[in-house]
Formats: sequence, structure tokens, C-alpha cells
Amino acid sequence: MPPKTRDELLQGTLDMLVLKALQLGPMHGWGITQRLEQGSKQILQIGQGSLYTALYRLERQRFIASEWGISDNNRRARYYELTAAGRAHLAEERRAWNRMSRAVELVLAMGAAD
Amino acid sequence: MEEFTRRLRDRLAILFGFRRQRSMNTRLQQEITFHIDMATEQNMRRGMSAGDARREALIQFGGREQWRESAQDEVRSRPLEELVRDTRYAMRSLRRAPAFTAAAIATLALSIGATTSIFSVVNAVLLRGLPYPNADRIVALCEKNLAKPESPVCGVGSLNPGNFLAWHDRVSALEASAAFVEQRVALAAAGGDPVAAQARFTSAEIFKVLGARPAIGRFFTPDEDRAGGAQVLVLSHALWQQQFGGDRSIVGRTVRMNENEYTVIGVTAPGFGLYDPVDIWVPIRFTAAQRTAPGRFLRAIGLVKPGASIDEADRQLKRVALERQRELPDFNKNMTALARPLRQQLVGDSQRALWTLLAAVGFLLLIACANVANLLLARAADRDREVAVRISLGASPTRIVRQLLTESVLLSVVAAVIGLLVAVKGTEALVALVPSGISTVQSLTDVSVDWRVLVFTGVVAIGTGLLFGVAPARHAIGADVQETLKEGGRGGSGVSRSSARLRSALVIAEMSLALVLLTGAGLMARSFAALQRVDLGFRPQGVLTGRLSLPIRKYRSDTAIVQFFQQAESRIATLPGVQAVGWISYLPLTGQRAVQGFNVEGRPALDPGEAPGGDMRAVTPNYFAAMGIPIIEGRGFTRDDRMDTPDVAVVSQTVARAFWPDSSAVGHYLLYTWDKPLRVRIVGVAGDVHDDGPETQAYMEIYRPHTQFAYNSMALAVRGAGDPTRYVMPVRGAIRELDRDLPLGAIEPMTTLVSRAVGTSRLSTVLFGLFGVLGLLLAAIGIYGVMTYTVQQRRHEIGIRVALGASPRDVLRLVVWRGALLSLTGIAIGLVGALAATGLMRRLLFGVPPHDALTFVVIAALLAAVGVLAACVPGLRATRVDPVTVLRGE
Repeated sequence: MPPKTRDELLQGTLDMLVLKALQLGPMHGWGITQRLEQGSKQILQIGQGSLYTALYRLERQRFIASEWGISDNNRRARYYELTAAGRAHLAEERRAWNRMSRAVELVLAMGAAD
Repeated sequence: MEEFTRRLRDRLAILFGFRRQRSMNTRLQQEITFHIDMATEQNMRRGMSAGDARREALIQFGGREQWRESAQDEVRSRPLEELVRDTRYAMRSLRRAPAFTAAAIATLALSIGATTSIFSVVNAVLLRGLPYPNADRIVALCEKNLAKPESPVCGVGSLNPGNFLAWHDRVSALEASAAFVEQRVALAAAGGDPVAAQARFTSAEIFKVLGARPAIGRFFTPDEDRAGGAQVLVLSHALWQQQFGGDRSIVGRTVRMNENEYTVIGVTAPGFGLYDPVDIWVPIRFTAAQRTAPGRFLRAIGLVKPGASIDEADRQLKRVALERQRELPDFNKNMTALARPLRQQLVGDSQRALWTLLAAVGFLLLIACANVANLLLARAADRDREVAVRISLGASPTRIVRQLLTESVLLSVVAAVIGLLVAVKGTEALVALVPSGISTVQSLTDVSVDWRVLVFTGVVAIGTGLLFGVAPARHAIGADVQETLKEGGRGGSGVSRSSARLRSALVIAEMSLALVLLTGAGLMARSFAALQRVDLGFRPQGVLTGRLSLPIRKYRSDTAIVQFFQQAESRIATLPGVQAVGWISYLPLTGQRAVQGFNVEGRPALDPGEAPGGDMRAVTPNYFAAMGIPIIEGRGFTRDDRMDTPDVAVVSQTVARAFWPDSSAVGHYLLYTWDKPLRVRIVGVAGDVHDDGPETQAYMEIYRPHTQFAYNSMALAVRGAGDPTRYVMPVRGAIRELDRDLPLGAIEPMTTLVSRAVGTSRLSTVLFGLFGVLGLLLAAIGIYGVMTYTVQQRRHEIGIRVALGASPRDVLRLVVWRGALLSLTGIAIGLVGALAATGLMRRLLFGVPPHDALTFVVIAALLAAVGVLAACVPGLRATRVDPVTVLRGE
């Protein structure tokens, strides 16, 4: 096993974001970073290393599938696509995230109430 | 197409990722190149120079090597590695609960071991092919008397040579057939001392039927199997090793068998045999007289032609049998013929016992599974929170289920390995279950390495693991994470309740299975006791037996033969400690007999086919005393019954009852033919002897004095004080004083013959009992476990009850009543199952009906008592619950 250099939570979040990006349609790795950066209004900078790690991991978990395709500029690129399992997983992750963020928000709001 | 293969390769890569690193590398390389190119282009669009844009893109990408490795790891850590990880995790968590692990493994190992042992024997006897090249085409050829449907078919010595030869010549569906008969002989190498050996006199075609190849030399040919052919014989591999030290130059040498010179022409392959083991194979050489003489003393086997069926051979045999009836109407009246598969002939009745034992052990395995499932469920309840925490931390349910399953499969695989060791030992103990015919032709030493046994153990192990892994796993996913976490382990939640229900169901199932097992065991035990109670008609304790055959060349006349045995009897009788000595042509329980039809003077004469068969035995005067057979009426034989005095006989009670139910048999005359027509006066009636074991009816025995019915081969019975084996050397010495060339063979205490006759029955009883007790123990542990858990879960409630004034007795009753309810439900269901199951055992039982009320009642009561006792321990613990501690200590 490789040493885990990243936080569990962050890793899980990246997986969710990648799935979300692919919900818009099949895309290659570069396109996914573009979607995420644009979608977060450039707040999120995606480390390419962790992106591909995440992509491979998600593919192994069968949440996404990949195949070679042709990019807009006519180059050979690996396209990733959401699977049915991935769609379901995304929905689930989303619910969990909502719960969690609400909870964190509540906790953080505690001080304000005092 | 190319796309398809690539995809296929990718799929395989996902499956077998650990060896796809190279292609993954290429793919990753291409993706990175594309990514960096795109980044460079974007940077250029933002106004950077080509060089800067590329450098910037590379920097942005970061430490390439480091993450590439982690990406590859994602690809590489494939099922195998995950399995290793899961296994490691499972091992850790099992080690943390040593009591649970030990209980589960012991339970499973024992039952898997028992299952595998029984299966090994079933496999060897019923499933594995016989070790003959064309085993499925080999049949036993037998005569059968239609007027006596109850008489055993295909027994030793039940076939007439003339009839066999007719089959041999006229049944076209048979490629080859051979008849044979066994006899004890004295064998001596040139100049050596003679040894007792078992010889099989057989047609030459037997080797063709069995597809045998000699280890060295050759087998005899049909030419040598003809009157006047060369005197040749073939040695068994075992005898060749023991007596001739495996000397290859034995072929072509001369040996002496019963005072005749024979040339050894070959040695059989190791392990080759048929039915009971024999040491020598000799051409049978039917004489012209034998070809036409009446009398049945052979057995036969045949090889069905390829393309022909056994049924066809059977039909042809029956047709020829009808022809033979017309040719010899008297002798062959009511006689038909049959061909039946050799395996069926070999396995016989033990088949049912084996399948029943396999079923019983299967039940035990089920109980064990239920018990371990129970243990796992109890554990799962304790682990609710562990699982809930892991799920909330992002572990997927499939992962957790897989981990739980890995744990239970690991458990059962470890148990299976230990079980296999148990099985190896167990199989050795089970060898006695194997019918002797099969054990001759199949070596049991290679039973445990048979692939079928391995597959069976594997399936049982993994199947058990999955079976009892499913329950806790389902439980794990079904659990509501937040509920479980909120509950804080106080218990009593919906999840725990459903788990408690499942566990109760398992305990009920265990109880009912145990009841079925124990009822079977109880019936077997009662049946065995009934067998033991059967009076065999003689007293085997303190009797030593042996067999002695006089060579015809040396002892030519009946007078010489009679004189020899009389002298031997006198000499042995004077040995210190000896109380009585007698000789008989065939001992009881050896399965050997010479049957001849007889008539009673003054009653209508019956044809040979219809006349009752008398079991003709030659005895010396003191045989009855030596064997402990009572003379009920009249007298036994004396030295005054000589060759030249009137022919006399002692008949058994069965004969007397059959013909003179209301009067005395003594003084009447029997008419039968043995070499010549005989008129024999009955002088006495002897007690019945169960010649074929306690389960069978007594035969019609007709004893004749040896002086008037001389046999050159007789069995010895010596009754003496103390251990019978202490007379072996003195008896041998006494015989050697008379003739130093005569070896006494087949020396055994009579009790050995008796225990062999009931050996199979004893072993199945012991095994059944063992399975039953194990089942009971497991069920008791199950109840104990469930009630302990229940008490644990309801501590709070019990505390409140006590606080409100419930007495310890009330608490005890509460718990024990619940345990009793589980037991009673299980017992009720089990009784229904047992009624159905024991019906199938009918033919295994002796002297006890399959629905024996006593057995059922006793077993049910026993189980109920054990159930209540098992619930009492946690019940008593419940009475010690301190309400203050419980209510405060939340």
C-alpha cells in the first residue's frame, strides 16, 4: 500500500467532484480539471497527480468507465464516463455531504449563538 | 474489432491488474502527454512563449513520479491484494476474540472432519470406479431359485459347473466369463516348509474379464485350463513378497501344492484381487464328471461385450437357464439366472448404512453451521458500532460485507485444514465399514488424497463460510448507522431484536436437527443392543479356531483322513487347560456351507429344486461341546458312530420344528444324495446356530459324523480355560507331531469371528452415537449462547423488575422459560422430521421399529432437559443482576 499522503476527507471530496464533473458528460482528464476549476470559479486548483489517481481509483470501483476517443483538437485522448453505479454513488455522496456540511455549519454557528 | 479487443484487454487489466503494469504505464504516459500539451496550449493562449508555457505546465503538474506511482497503485491493488488485506484484517480481528475463534473453529473442524471421513468411505465404496479397466461391464453371474425368493443370491458356492459352462457357451452378450472356487491348500517351495494358503481355482478367462496384467511372467491360458494341461499356477503379489521375497526368478520354478508339483508362471500386479483375498490362482480344469455332476459350489463373473447391455446379458442368461431347466428338469427345477453389476454385488447392504451415515453427518454439519452462525451473529451484534463507525467514515457496504465474509471464510478454511487432519485419522478408523469385497480390490490408503474428497471438503468449507457469513453480513448492511451510534450499545433496538429472532430461529433449527440425529442414534443403539442379545446358538468365549487341510496325495482314503483328525483331536485334548476339542467342515459365521436338498422318509418326495436345502456339516463327536452348542434332544455323536455303523445325523431345531412341530424328530430318517443315495437316521436335535450372523435366520443344519462324511479339510474348535490365543503354539505343536508338513491356518479366537460379523453394525452405531452426542452438545451451546446474550440484552429490564419486587425465582423462571420455549419448539419440529427420517432407516434396524415410541420419548425428554439446563446457567446469572448497578450504570 502506498503511504497515504492526503487527507481522507479531501480525497473523498475530490472523488465526488470528479463524478459531478462527469455527470455533465464524458470527458478526458484535462477537460475535467477545466470543468472543476471553472465550476468553482477558479477557487479549486486541482492537483493533476491526485486527479489521475482519483480517476483510476474510481474506474477500479466501477463508478466510471473509460475508453480512447478523439478530442476537439483532433488528438487521441482517454475519455471518462459515469456508470450507473457511479451515478448512484454520486447521489449518495451528495446526501452525505449535505448532512455533514449542515452539521459542521451548525457546530460552527454555536459560537455565534452565545 | 480493434476497439473491442482493447476494451477486453482493459477489462482483463482491471481483473488481473497486477500483471498489466506495462500497458497501464503506456496509457498513463499518453494521458499525461495529452494533459501537458493542453495545458501548454492554454498557457500560450494566455500569452506565454512556447518554452515558458511548457515549463509552466510541467511545474503545474508537479512531482510526476510520485503521483504516477500512486495512480498505478490504484490500478495495481487488485482483488488479490485486497484479498490479502481483507485476510490480514480478518486474522487480526479473529485473534482479538480468541474464545469465539476457538469455539467456531473447533465446532467446524470436528464436523468437517467427520463429514470428510464419512465421505471418503462413501467415495471409496460407492462413487469411485472399481480398479478394473472395464469395471462397468463386469457382472456377477448367479443362479437363483425362484421357489425360494428369500434365499440369498450370488452367495459363495451357489453355481453348478454344467450350468455355468452352458452360459459360457450360449450367452453371446458375454465377451468372457469365468467360474471359480476357493480352497485352503498347503504350499511349499522346493525343500521348504509348507504354509497354509488360500487358492482360487478358476477359469483362465477370469484375467480377461478383470482386464488384469501380470507383474511378472504371464497368466494361464485356456489350454492350460483343460484336464491334462500343464500343472501351472500364478502367485499373488502379496504371497510372492512374503514367501518368496519378491524374487523375480520364481517364474519357471516348481512349487508343491497339496503334494503336487506346479510350475509358477506369473505373479499378479500388486493390489489385484476380487472378493476375498487369495494367495494363489490355479486353473480350475473341470473334469468330465464335474461338467455334468449336480451340486453347486462355484461363483462366476463375466464381461459384457462392448455395445451390449447388462440387461441384454441378463435376458440371455435367463433364456439359457430355461433351456437348462428342460435339459435337467430335476436338478434345475425353478432355477433361473441373473447378471448383476459387480459393484452392486460387492457393495451389497453396506450401501444403505453408508448413505445413512452420510446423511447423519450432514445433519451434524448443519448444526455446526447454525452454531457458528449463532456465534458470528452474537459477535456481529457486538460489532454493530464498529461497523457503523466505519460506514460513517466512508467505507462502502460492499467492502464491509466482503470483509465479514472474508472473516467467516477464513474461519472455515482454517477449520477445514484442521478438519482434514481429523478426517485422515477418522478415515483409518472407518476402514472396518468397508465391505470386505471392496477392501480387497481398493486400497483405502489413497482414499484421503482422492480429488473428490478434496473438492468435497473445499465445497463444504467455503459453503459453510458463506452460509453462516451471510447472516451477519446482511445484518451489518441492514443496520441503520445513526440508530446504532445513537443507541450507544444499550441494546434492545430493532436491529438487535431482529438479530435475536434470527438467533432464536437458528437455535430452534439446531435443536430439531439434534433431535433427528439423536433419534437415529438411539434407534441404532437399540438395534445394536438387540443384535447383541441374539443368542447365536453357541458360546464363542474361550474358543480358538483354525483350519487344516490334508493333502489328498498323502491321505488317500477316508479312513486315513478320519484317523488323522481323530488322533489330532485326542492329542489336543490332552494339552493342559483344554476342555473340549472338535472338528467341523465349516465354522459358523464364515459364510461357507455345502447345501444339499433332502427329503424326509414317509413324506412325498420333492424334486431337488423344491426340496428344502440342508446345510450339511461334518463334525467330530466333541464339536458340540467345544463350540457350546446344546443337544436339545436325543444324543450327539460318539466314537461308536463309525464308518461301518448305520448312517446317523443330528439336525438343528429349525429342521425339527419344520417337519415335526408336535412330535420328536429323533428316530425319523432323512433321504438325500451325496456321492450316493443315503438314508440317515436322526439321533439327536442340536440348538440352532445363527450361521450368517445375528441378523439372519438360522439355517436347516444337518450334522453328520466325520467318520461317515469325511472331509479332508476341517476347521478346529478348541475350548480351553483363559485366553484362547495361549493354545496356539501347543495346538500347532500337537499337529506337527502327527505330520510335520501340515500347517494350521486361519487361526483366530471365535470371538473375533463374532465381532467381525457385527463389526459394521457396531461401527455405525458408535458413529451415529458420536454424531448424536456432538449434535446435542452443539445445540446446548447454542441455547446457552442465545440465553446468555438475551440476559445481557435485557439486563436493564431485569434490573427494573427486581427493583419492582420480582424475586430471584421470578427472574430465573423468566429466562429458563424462554430457553425451554426454544427447546420445545425445536423438539416439536424435530419430532416431525425424525418421524420422516427414521422411516428411511427401516432396513438398517434390527429388532426395533423405526418409529419406536420409547426411543422418541426418551430422546425428546433428554433434549428438553439439556435445553432447560443450558438455559439455567444464564438464568442464575440473571438473578444476580443488581438493580442499583444496572439502573445507575448507563
